[in-house]
Amino acid sequence: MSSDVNPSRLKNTTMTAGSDEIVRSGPSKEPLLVVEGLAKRFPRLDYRVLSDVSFKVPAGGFTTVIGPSGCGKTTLLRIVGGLESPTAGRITIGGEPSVGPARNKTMVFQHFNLYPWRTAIDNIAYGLELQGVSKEERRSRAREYLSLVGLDGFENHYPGELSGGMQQRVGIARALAVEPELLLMDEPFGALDALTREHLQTELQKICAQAGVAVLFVTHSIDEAIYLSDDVLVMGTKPGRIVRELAIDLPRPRWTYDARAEPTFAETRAELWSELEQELSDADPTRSAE
Amino acid sequence: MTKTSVDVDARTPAPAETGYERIPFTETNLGVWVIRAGALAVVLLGWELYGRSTNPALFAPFSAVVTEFVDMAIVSNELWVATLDSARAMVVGFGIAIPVGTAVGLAIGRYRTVEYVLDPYISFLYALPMVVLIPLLIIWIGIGTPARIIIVFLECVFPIIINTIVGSKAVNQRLLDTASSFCATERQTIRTVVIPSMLPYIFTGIHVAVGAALVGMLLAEMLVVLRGLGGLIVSASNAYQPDRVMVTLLVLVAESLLLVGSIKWLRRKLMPWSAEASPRTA
Amino acid sequence: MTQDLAQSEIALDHTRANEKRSDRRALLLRILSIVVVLILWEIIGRQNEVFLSYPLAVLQAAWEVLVVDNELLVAFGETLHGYALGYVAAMILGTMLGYLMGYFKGLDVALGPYVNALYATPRIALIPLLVLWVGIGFGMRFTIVILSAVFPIIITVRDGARSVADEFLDVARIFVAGGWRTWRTTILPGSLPYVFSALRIGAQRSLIGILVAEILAALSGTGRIIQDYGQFFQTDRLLVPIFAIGFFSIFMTGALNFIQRRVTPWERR
Repeated sequence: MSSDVNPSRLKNTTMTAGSDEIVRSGPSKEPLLVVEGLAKRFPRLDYRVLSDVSFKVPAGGFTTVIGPSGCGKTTLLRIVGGLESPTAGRITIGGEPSVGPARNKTMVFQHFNLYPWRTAIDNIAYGLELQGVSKEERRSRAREYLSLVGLDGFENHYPGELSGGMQQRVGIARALAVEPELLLMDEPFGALDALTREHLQTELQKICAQAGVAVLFVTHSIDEAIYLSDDVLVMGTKPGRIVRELAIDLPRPRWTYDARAEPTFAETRAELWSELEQELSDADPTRSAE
Repeated sequence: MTKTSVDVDARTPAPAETGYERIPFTETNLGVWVIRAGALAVVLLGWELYGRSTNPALFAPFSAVVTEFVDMAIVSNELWVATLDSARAMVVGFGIAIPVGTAVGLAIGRYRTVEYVLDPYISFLYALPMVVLIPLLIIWIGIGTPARIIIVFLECVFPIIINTIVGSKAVNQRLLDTASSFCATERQTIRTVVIPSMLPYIFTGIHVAVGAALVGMLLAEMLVVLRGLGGLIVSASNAYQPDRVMVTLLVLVAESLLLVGSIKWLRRKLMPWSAEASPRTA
Repeated sequence: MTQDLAQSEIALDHTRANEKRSDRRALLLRILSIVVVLILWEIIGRQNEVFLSYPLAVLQAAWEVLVVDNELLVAFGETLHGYALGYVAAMILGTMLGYLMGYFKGLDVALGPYVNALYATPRIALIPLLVLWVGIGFGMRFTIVILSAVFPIIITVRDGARSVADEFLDVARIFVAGGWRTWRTTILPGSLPYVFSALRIGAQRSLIGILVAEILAALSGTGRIIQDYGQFFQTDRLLVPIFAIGFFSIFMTGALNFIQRRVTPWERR
C-alpha cells in the first residue's frame, strides 16, 4: 500500500529535474564530515600515501580534492568511504565517528562499477535491497531516482546496453537511492567523452541540489573542480597532504549563466593551476616548470 | 577575488599512528609454509595411522609405501623401466598430434569450406570419450604398441585442432591492417602477425592435450596392453598389493605435475607477452 | 602450476560455448558432407563388414539391441544411473568447496596443492584401487564419477570466484553487504560463466571415468557391453553405443550451454 511507503527525500523538495528556478540555500554552518589528521602508509612503500590530512565538509556542501596522479586522493576517498582503514587519524560524520562502510555515505566510481547482471533499475535498487526494503517500495524509490537522472524508459536495460554517460547516471542514482548524507565521487566523469562530461556536470549540480547531499569529489580537472564546488582542496604528493584550500566565489546555481566565462573563473583557475604546477614539478623533477 | 582558505578550527590532537597495516597471515610466505607443512603433516599422519589399522591387502600406510618405493626404484629399477615404457608411447603419440593437429586446425581456420566439411566429424570426435573407440581400434589394428600410440594421438589431437581453429579466427583484424599498411606480403604477414597471434591459443591446446595424453597413455596401458605404469597399477591391484599401487600412483602424480608445469614454463619462455589466451580478457 | 592447466581448459570451454551460429551455406555444406560420407561408408563398408560395417547394418543392429532385445538399453540405464547421481553430487560438493576455497585463503593454501595434483592426474588410475575398496556395482560408478568431476569443478569455481573484479566487491562493501549477501549478489552472479564451464568440463570427465570403470572393472553397463561387442567382432553393434555416447556428450554440453544462456541474459554472445 502506498501509504506504507516512506516518502523519499525528493518528495520534500519543490523542484523537478531540469527546472532552472530553485536556488539551493547555501551550505549550513555545521560541518557534516570532519577529517582529522588522516594518515595512511602501505606496508610495502617507504613514504606515507597520506600525511596529516584534515578538512571539513559542511552538510549540503560540495568539496573537491584535486591533485596530480598518484597523490593519494583516491586513497583518501576510499578511507572516508570505509573501503580502507587509515593508519592514523579520525573521521566523523554528523558528529559520530565513522569507521568502515556505513549507510550514510555512498560512492560513485570512475568506471561505474555497475553489476552487469542487473538491469538499471535493479542496480539502482541495490542499496535498498541490502537494507531490507520491500520489493515494492524499493522499486518505486528506484524509479524516482531513475527519473531524477533522466533515464526514464531505460529501467530494464542492462549496463552493457547503455552508453558510458547513461551508466554513470545509473551509478549516481544508485548512490543516491539510499539517501546518504555524504556522497563520495571518484573522478566520476573521467571515463566519459568531453561533451557527455560537460553535460553531466550540469546535471550533477541539479541532482545534488535536489537530493541535498554533501559531496566529496575527486578529480584532476581544474575546470571541473571550479565549476562544481564550494571549496577546492589541492593535494600534494609524496607524502599526500593538503597544500591549499580555496573557496570558490561563484554564485549558485551555476547552470543559469555561463559560469565558465566569468572572470572569477579564470582567476581561480590561474591560481589553482600555479599551485598544481608547483606540485607537479616537485613530484617529477624532469618536468620543467613553465 | 578568491577568498583564502576556509578557516580550520583548532584541531584536537590527532591519535597516534597505529603502525603498518598488517598483511594477513595467510598471504605471508611464512604463513603459507606453515599452513602447507601443517596440512602435509596431518595428511601423512592420517595416512599412516589409517594404513596401520586396516587390511594390508587393501590399503598401505605411508611407511609401507616408502619402503616399497625403495624396492621398486632403487633396489630394482622396475619403476623407471615402467615409467620410460609409458613415456615412450605417450611422447610419440603426443609428438605426432602436435603437427597434425596444428596443420588440420590451420587448414580449417584458413579455408571456410574445409571447416564446414570437416566440422561435424571434428565436433563429434571432440565430444566423444575416446575410451569407447578402443574396442574398435583393437579390431582394426590389434593389440600392441601402435594401438597405444594411436590412442594417445586420438586423445591429444582434438584439443589441439580446436584451439588452433579458435586461434586462427582470433587474429586481430587491426593487426592485419597494420601489416598491410606496411605492404607486407602474405608470407611476411603470416610470419609476423598470424603466427605470434596464434601461439597463445596453440599453447592452450597443447596444455590441455598434455593432460589428455596422460589419460590416453593410461587407457592404453590399463585396457589394451598391460605395460608401463598403467600395467603396474592393474597387476599390483589384482595381486592385492596396495603398496605397489600407491608407489606407482605417486610417480604418476609427479609425472603429471611435471609435464603440465613444463608446458607452463615453456609458454612463459616463448611468449613472455601473453598471460593466458583467455577470451574473458578480450 | 596446474592452475594454468585449469585456465587453459576454461578458456577452451569458453570459446566453444561462445561460438556463433553459422549461416545457411555452412549448414548446407555440413549436411552434404555427412551425406557423402554416409554413402561412401555404405559402399566401402559392405566390402569390409568386420572392419567398418555400414550404415544400414548399424541401424539394424540398433534396432536389435535397443528394441528387440534391449540389452543395450538396460546397459545405458545402469550407466546413466550412476552417472547422473554422481554428477549431481560432484556438482554440489565441487561448487561448495570451490567457493569456500575462493573465499578462505587459508583453506586454499592448505588444500590447493592436493586439489591441483589430483586435477592434473588422470583419475582413471585410481580405478583398480577403487575396485579393491568399493567393489563393483553402483558404489563404484558413483565414486569414480565424483572423483573424476569434482576436482575440475572445484578449481574452476574457485578461479571463477576469484575472478570477480575487485571493483564489484568494493560496491558490495560500500553498501554494507555482509558476507553471505556479498556472495549471493556479487560473487555468484559474477562467477556464473565459470560455474558453467566447470559443469561442462566435469560432465565430460566423469563420462570418461565411468566408462573406463565399467570396462576395467568388468562391471555391467555400457562400457562392458562395448567391450563384449568388440571382443566378438560385432562391429555393427559396436558402433551403436559409440554413436549414442558421442551424441549424449554433445547433448550434455548443448544443454548446459542452453541453460547458461537462459540464466545469464546479460552476456551478449
